[in-house]
Amino acid sequence: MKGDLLAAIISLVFLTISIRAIRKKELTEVLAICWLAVSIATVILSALLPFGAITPVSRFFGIAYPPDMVLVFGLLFLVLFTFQLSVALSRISARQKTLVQELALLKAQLDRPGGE
Amino acid sequence: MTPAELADAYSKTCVVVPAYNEGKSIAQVVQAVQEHMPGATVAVVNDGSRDDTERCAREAGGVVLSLSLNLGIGGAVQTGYKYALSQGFSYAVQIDGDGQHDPSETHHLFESLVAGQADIVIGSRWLGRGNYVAPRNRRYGMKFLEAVVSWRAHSRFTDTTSGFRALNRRAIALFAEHYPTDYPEVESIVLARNYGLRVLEVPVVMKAREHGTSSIRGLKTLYFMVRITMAVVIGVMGGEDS
Repeated sequence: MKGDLLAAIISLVFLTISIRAIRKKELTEVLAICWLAVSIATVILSALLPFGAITPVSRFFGIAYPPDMVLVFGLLFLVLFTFQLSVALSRISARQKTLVQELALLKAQLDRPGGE
Repeated sequence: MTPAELADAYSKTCVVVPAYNEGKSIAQVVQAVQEHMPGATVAVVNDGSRDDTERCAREAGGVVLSLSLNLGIGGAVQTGYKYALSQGFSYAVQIDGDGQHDPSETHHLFESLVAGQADIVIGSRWLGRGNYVAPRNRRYGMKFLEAVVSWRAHSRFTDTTSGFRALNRRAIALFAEHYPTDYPEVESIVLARNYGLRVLEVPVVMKAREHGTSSIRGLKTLYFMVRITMAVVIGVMGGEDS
């Protein structure tokens, strides 16, 4: 039972952290929704896990030990999320490159005598 | 090509010189270009250098395109091509800022370019002229790249890492739009071929670099090989521009 309590506390702390981050506008909207969903899901999971409420679900997926199912889906989520992040990062660096290049061209135009 | 035709071509040429912390050699490079390619415009792309590259290049009489952040060689060179395109130049020449390429060799590149026989002409160290010697481990790497690129580009290339090249308007427009980021010299050959451009190699003489070190050495060489092979084989040319 101690483990369940710990899981509940951790998920509540995580929920508080994500709400705080959203209120301080440290996250863009899509990511804010994403993390809010994740933290609410972990809170619900940690509340349900001790009562065996998700055991039928894990049985459906053929996973004998319910907490393992949480791990598997958690891992899947993390992989997909980091992939999405690296796609976003690549897009941002491509945009940054274009911006820096155009800035350099504009600066050169201003430097030219008579350039406005 | 008559001297008059060459002079006319040079007057419509933008010489793109990417430079990252090349304060020691950049002025010499700019002056050498002005001396051997009279009438050409020199555009030094200062890739976020931390030394006095920008001041030296400007004092030597070059146009300076100064990048606020270090973009790496690909982003820097592309800036030069964007400049050449927007300023309406007919030709562009790429010359490294470290003094490795000799501007007095440029007329060898222009022969086929001006005659309209090629869209890109690359100066190769390995076609018989000059006596450039590369360290042994680099030679193996170059051989390997040569094989990969020759296979993907459907014709033989001997000096895939050469950054000494001349482009016509069509090639300038392509590279202003699409240019690989990380190891652009090698990838851009395949890229240009994929877009149906005619790419030609001609023999040139190159010097060993005067100052600074190659951006690629040691363990990075291995990474370089893997990345290039991936990029060239998959055809992902170092990231989409968006």
